[in-house]
Amino acid sequence: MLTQPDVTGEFLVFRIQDQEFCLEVSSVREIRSATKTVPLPNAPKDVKGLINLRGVVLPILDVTSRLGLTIVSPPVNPVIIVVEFGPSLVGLEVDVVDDIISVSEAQMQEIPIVPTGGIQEFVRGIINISGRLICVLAIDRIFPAREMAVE
Amino acid sequence: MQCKTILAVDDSATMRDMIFRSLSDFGYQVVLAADGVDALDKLRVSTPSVIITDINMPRMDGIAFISEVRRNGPNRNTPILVLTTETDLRWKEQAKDAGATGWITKPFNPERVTEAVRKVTM
Amino acid sequence: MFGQSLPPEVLGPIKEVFFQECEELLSALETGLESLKQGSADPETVNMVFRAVHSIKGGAANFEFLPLAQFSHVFEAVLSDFRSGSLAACPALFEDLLCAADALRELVAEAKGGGTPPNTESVLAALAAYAHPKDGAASPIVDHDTAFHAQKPQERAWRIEFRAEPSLYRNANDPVPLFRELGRLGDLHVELDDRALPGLPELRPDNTYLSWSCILRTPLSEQNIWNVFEFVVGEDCRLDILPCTIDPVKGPFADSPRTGEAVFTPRPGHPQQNRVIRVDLDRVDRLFNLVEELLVQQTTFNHIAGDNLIPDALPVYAEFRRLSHEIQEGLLAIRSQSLKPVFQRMGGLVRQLERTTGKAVKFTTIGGESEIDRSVLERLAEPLTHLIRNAIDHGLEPAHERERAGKPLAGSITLSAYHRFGRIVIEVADDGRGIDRDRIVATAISHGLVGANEYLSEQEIDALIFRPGFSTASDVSEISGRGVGMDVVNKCVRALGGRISVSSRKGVGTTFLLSLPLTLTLLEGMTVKAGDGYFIVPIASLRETIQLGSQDVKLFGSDKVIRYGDDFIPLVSLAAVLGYRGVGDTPGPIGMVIEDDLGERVVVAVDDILGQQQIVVKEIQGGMRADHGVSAATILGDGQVALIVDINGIVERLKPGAMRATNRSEAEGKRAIC
Repeated sequence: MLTQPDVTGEFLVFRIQDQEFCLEVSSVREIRSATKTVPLPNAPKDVKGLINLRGVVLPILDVTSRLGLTIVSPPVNPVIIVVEFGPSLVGLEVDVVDDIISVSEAQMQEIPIVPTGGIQEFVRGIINISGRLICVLAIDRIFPAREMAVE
Repeated sequence: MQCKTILAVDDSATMRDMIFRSLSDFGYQVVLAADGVDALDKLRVSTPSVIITDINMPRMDGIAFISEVRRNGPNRNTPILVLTTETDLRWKEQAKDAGATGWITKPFNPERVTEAVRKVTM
Repeated sequence: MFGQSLPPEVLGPIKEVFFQECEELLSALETGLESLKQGSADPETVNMVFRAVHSIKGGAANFEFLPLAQFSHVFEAVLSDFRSGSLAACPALFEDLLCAADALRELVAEAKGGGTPPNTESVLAALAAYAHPKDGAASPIVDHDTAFHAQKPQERAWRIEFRAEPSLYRNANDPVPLFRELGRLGDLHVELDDRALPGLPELRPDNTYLSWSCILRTPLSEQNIWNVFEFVVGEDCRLDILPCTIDPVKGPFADSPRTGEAVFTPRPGHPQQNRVIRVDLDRVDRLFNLVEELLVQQTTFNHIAGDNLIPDALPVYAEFRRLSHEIQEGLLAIRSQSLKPVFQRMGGLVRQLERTTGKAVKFTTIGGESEIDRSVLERLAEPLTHLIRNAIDHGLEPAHERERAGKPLAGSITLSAYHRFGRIVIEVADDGRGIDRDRIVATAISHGLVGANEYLSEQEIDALIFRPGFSTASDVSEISGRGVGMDVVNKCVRALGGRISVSSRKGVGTTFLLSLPLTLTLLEGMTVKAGDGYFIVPIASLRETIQLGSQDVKLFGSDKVIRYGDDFIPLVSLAAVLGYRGVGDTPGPIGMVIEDDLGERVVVAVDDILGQQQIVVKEIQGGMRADHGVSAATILGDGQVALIVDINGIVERLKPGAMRATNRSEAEGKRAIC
């Protein structure tokens, strides 16, 4: 169920294929350049593989593929956003990280109903700032335990 | 795992293997060394509950090793058991003179080894 | 004898080590004798030659290779005389010694592979000519355990007077362990005599002032008592052991002039002083994580600079590595906790189930003081709970049935734990109805798990209850005597890197046996390269590494097999069996013979072997417990992630149809709660 985010705060904005998305800063651990991943056999299709983050073995999710977006221009220097997901850490690979914005209640909006409805299930709400449309991603739906975990 | 550590010194890989397996089964932590020099290295930074050593070893034999341990290091009061064969009776005396606490005759079985260890450790 | 206390599967590898060592020793022996024959006077060579035969003798005696042991014994005696100088060097001697070395080699080969025993008579005669007669008969090679004579059936009382001399302490002996040992022999009563103890100013620390008088009641022989004091008898103590009678009225010390009271009654097997402190578990964990990181950094350092260290730095670095390893071992020991709390929890569960089921249960625990690492301990309760619940719910019959069967009214559940070969074994045993095999087979057939005419051994039938899909039957609880969830338990145990097996006799009872690693955090593994990735094969499951030549490989339909010993076992490429898409099925040049927990063997082909090391096991984040062949991951020296292979998972993937099952469909089955 999609509800308005009820907390105004700080969000990290990033881009995938010219579309803008954001995540609550509080859940973001760090950002680093994408590196080669070690493929995990029998992994769900959007998990690119594993990387070593200072001794922690992290799965990297290809967000472009997960959101079902088509690649028009391949990213030059993709970036990994390391986020907290329950008790563990996961990595989301995106094209570019932009900036951190502070958002107030007034700037939050409901998701528009669109025919294709592709990314709706992953988005909690949208932020309207000076003409920019920034989708707020729901991490638990991007990386849901039941579907992604093999067990 | 009990916190009792045993340092076992023997130049034969077979022996080390057997000592390790029989003592590990009884819950001891076993550290292995291949000869006296190796063992002294390990003793410089650790104090096992008991040392088990063979007598005939290259580089530094058991007698010299025991004498060195007893000289003045942190392990000068650590019990030392020597592995001896029936025929090595005079080595047993020499070992005792050098400071060995007790002995285990070869071929040995795990029960005898642990019995000997029990007799010398608190 | 050592060989009798270890089972063949453990003794086997040790014997292999022994034979490998014999090769090296024989080679060194021959080289040494040759150089001595050439005129070398190096004492180290002489020592080395002696030690070679001495070591072979020792190992041979332990494994009871009697001809080899006896021959080496004689050989060694001659070398001993030569070494001590009582035998002069001469060409004839060395000729004979070299012949003896040849004979020794033949005897080793015989011990290793059977075959015709070599004729060593002439060599033995030649050696005998050099021997000095030693006090009559040759000393025994085989250990006769003379310490324990035939035990007298009835108890006797002994009085033991003991006083330590200062020299006793000089060799690190101590009365305390001795009294404890005495206590193991029977009923011990100790009295202290401290009359000789002076005041503090006169007390000399290197003198002894205490003596003890003990009464020991034991059915064992006097020799056993002397045996306790084996190391200190002589000048290190004053010891008297006398049979005594105990006055029933006046007690054991009635005619003793001493008036002291009993001070010391050691309880057998009880640690005397336990110096213990309380430590916050978080601190220990934090320390442990730091040490793990230290290990990773160290491997990285080795990778970057290992080949470029200046000579002076090498021993320092080696020491550094050794120290960090020791710290790790030390920390693991600290993190070890006893199983008691888990056992007590189970006790509570049993009592609760007694109430809910109305069945009386006698619950026994053995080995609760065994210790394992926290990482395993905290995940143990789940499978044990299932097993005990099932045992009481379904395994134990109701009272009237037990009465009819002539069993005690209270059913018995026994939970025991013990260390075995570096693992912890936990058994859950009940004396209930046992597994009804006929009905299990019927259920399995009706669920399509086995063919109607398939022949299954008893163990195979029992193992059926662990299969996924078996317990989805709604009426299985009545049929199998085991409730829902055996496959769940199996999954839990496997996730811990362990295995579970069951043995049962109808009408008598059932025992589940869990074998678990002592820690989940470290693993001895072989690093290999397959396809583009690096993998770790756990050493515990690795039987052998072989070079794959095309002549060893045969086709079996469209699958490959390879001859190994007397069997043909499957050959697969590691990358392919793990399911990496786009990898050709041509196996790499090196084959690793791996064996799963049930003894099934497979050869997985890899491209390269990088080496064996102790690795830190890292869970894959994000709740992604990768199944089907991969259990966890680790970080290599260069920072690369390597996947740890799950042997059981790989073998399962080879079952027909297994590799076609997708993740989703199996994940949609029973969701494990562990």
